Amino acid sequence: MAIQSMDKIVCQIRPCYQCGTCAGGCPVFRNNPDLNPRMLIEKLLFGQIDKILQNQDVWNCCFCLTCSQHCPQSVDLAHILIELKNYSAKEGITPKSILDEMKILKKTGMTFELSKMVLKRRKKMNLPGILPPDLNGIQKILKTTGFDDRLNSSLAGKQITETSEEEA
Amino acid sequence: MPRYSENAFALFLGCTIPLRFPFIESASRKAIKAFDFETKDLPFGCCPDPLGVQSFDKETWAALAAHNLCLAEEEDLDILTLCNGCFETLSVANAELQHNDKIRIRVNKILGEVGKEFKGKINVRHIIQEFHDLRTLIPDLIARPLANCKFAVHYGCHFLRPAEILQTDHSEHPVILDELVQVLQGNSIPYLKKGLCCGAGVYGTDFPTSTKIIQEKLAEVGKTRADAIIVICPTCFRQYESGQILIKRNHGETYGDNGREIPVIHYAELLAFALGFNMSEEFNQHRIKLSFNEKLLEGGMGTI
Ligand code: SF4
Ligand code: SF4
Repeated sequence: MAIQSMDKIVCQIRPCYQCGTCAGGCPVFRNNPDLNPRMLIEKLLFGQIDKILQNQDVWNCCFCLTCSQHCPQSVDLAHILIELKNYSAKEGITPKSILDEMKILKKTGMTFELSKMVLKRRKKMNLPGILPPDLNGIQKILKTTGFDDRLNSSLAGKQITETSEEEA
Repeated sequence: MPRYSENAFALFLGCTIPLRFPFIESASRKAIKAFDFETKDLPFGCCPDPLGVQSFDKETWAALAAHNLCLAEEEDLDILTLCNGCFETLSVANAELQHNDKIRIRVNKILGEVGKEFKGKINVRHIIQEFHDLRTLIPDLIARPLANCKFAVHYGCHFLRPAEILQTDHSEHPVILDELVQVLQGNSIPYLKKGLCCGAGVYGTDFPTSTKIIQEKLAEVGKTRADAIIVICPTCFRQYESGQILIKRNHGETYGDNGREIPVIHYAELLAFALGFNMSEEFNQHRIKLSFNEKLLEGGMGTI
């Protein structure tokens, strides 16, 4: 479950015959050609991972899974992009909006904070109080998985450069 | 003796619904009351989000999902979600952990730190699947038929894909939400690009593209003169509702009749309304006010 090795990722994309079906159905590509799923596969096959991770382009995938569902060669590009985003996060290139979400997750165990306005709205509809999650447990998990270290160094702008871990 | 009835679920509210759009929670609780099933609230954390958290650290995503699944397992309850994101995360993590020994061992080692163990004995369901299973009961319960109304339904990516795991409907030609609108006597209208993603996933990372995607969808829905857009996910809800408000502000474009925006409704709200529940406070909390109540009045169906 840890980040897959690059070799493993390349192995999974080998069946790709560059038909472009993934690009044709991608909601992002039709509006932002910087995210070209077919070309991404091509770059990966040619070992140009550094080029891919140079900018935040992989983060522009909205994880709609259309490409994975449509690929005639069963290449699961949406999940390969999740792996690439994990690589990118490890390198400290996570976009700010994602880091903000991670900060709230660590602080509250949820991805939104309860505002006074929402509390008032809940009361107006006689909704029960919100059960607080097991924050201690969640924070312990975040420490154990290395999430905390990744978040702290991302926030400090430092890059984590240790080599990727092979799946257990 | 089982602790709960056969039709009992752990209600998984997620983050966005209770903390941002509580009217969807309220409507869901109301609609559930009309049927013969029990729900229990448990102290769940974030599902976590299939995009943000999974992209940042996949192992954390799996471990937090497993942590939530364990809470329901301890109560012997299947999980019922109101949101596509929660549904996708919990279903996919549940399947991965059930079928991949390596992943399960790894995650259980992490969970051991907090005294939990994933066993893989429960199912995850979306409330829409449950309503669809119960659809033959609905006609007799309807207090406000929606016969004069036209709705544009949007399923959302994470309700349909990955189809092999979620198994909700045909991933390219789903019908269950259309059928659920029809069962309320509403018209589910066809529109171009119905299967296209709403673009919410890149709202934070690529806002201009996110806007262009929702503009594409809204332009098509607008042509049909739909009375409302029906969604089954709070993230799609936000994208359609805030999206229209921002597009009006930033680009001066609107997609409804007479320069108005098109109202957006979670299916649970539509169902609760059709079943006769008082929904005035819920609908009042929408930023885009519902305009189809005039039609309902014409049909003598009473107000919202
Ligand atoms: S759809 Fe599949 S085979 Fe076709 S270009 Fe994309 S990854 Fe390659
Ligand atoms: S998952 Fe990403 S790359 Fe694939 S079609 Fe959707 S936005 Fe495009």
